[in-house]
Amino acid sequence: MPDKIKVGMADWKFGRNNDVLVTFGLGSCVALALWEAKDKLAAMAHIMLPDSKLIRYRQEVSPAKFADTALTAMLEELQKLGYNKERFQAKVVGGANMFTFAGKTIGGNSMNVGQRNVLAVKEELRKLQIPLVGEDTGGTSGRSVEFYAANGILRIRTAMFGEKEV
Amino acid sequence: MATRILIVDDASFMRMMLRNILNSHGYQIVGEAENGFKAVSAFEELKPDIVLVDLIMPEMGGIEAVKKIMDMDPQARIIICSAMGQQALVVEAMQAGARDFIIKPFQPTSVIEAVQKLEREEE
Amino acid sequence: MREPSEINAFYQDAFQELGNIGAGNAATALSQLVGRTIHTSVPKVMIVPIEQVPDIVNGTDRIVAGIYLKIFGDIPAKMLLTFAHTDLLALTDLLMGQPVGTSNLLNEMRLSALKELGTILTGSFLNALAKFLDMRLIPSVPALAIDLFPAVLDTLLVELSEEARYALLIQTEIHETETKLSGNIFLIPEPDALDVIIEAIKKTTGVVDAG
Repeated sequence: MPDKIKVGMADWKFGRNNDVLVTFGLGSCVALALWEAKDKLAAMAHIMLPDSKLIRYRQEVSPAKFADTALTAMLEELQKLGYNKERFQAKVVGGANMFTFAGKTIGGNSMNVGQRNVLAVKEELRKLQIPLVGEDTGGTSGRSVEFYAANGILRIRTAMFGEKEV
Repeated sequence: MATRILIVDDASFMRMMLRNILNSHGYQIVGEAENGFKAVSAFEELKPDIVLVDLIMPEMGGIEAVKKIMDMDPQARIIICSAMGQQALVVEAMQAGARDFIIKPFQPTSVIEAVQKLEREEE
Repeated sequence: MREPSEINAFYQDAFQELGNIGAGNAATALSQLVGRTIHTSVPKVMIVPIEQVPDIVNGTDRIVAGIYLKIFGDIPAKMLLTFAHTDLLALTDLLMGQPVGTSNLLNEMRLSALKELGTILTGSFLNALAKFLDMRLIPSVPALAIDLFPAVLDTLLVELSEEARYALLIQTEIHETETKLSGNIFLIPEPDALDVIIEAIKKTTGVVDAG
């Protein structure tokens, strides 16, 4: 019986074998999924912002909230369980731009926060040399994700366009 | 000759609604604009008798458009049609040169009455 | 800067009253637009860590139309209006003065009508608050997304989380009894607006200091 493990905003969880990690409502947020094939270990973070250094209260919240701290924190914990980072591959989902105000992106940045989140996560993966083997990012639709530890597949659902697998 | 009206609002829905109301009372809609920039160039090109202008629009808002139109033609007859009915904003709009202010949501009769009032002032 | 979690019961009640005043006006505006009586619920004031907002606002698997406006002026804030996807055709029928059941397609004109609805309801909401608090409140142009409710909330929550840990939401439901149309109006002050609102409430109510 597959165990559904919910990953909330600014959080991360892991599971094994028949576990399914789920997270909802990825708008500008990004889901970072790590999979270890041999032991079928899956870990997923629901990341909200690209850069913790810009945030006053960063010490008081989970590192999973920020792209620049989530991956490091996940790998550290998984290392304690005996999994070195070399064993993992990554997939990235989300980072959409759901609202545009008359053609302009919100926040006054030339890049919207969804795009910045995706880039920041990819940069962390590159820095830590974790291979990125799949993604479904950008666009204007929200996404929900089910991450199957059994085979590393992500099932991604959108409101209007049904399901796809990555 | 029918009074010629320019409609300015970023919502196509609102432009349609105003067009229907005004057409059904014999007014001629000579143009539509979806922001302040286009309103100013439409005014220059079409020289309407009356302009209906929304306040909150992208690119350039209503107050600024009113000021620019008044600069071009101090006799311009402008009616504001907006959801923003706060005192300070109404005053600002009138000081910029608007002659009347219709608050959304409005009854169709309010639009016609405002237009007719401006037509009478001209006589 | 005051965190929402530091706001005491007196002011929470006051925020609820702001929701009441604003939503009452918005309901009147909607009533004039669709020609039916619109009722409002008692507003809920929620002060929660931003990450928990999707959990406490019901509807994880509902698809909604979300109309999002940014508020500028004396009280920077976010305004979000949501209507269930299943209500949109009936709602746009009513807005266009047509019998419910006329349309089966949300075309460009109807999407424009939804955005304009957001503008008008927000305008009415803000006009009432502005008068009550003696302030100036200006909305942006509206933005529309039709998507799962948590995804619609997501963008707003991410923006808020750049400044604060907690969110303060004032939520009111509006509904029409015959068609069972209902919608939600969320007023979410920006973190640095809370002190401004509290000072304005003090001034308006004449209360010297309730904390």
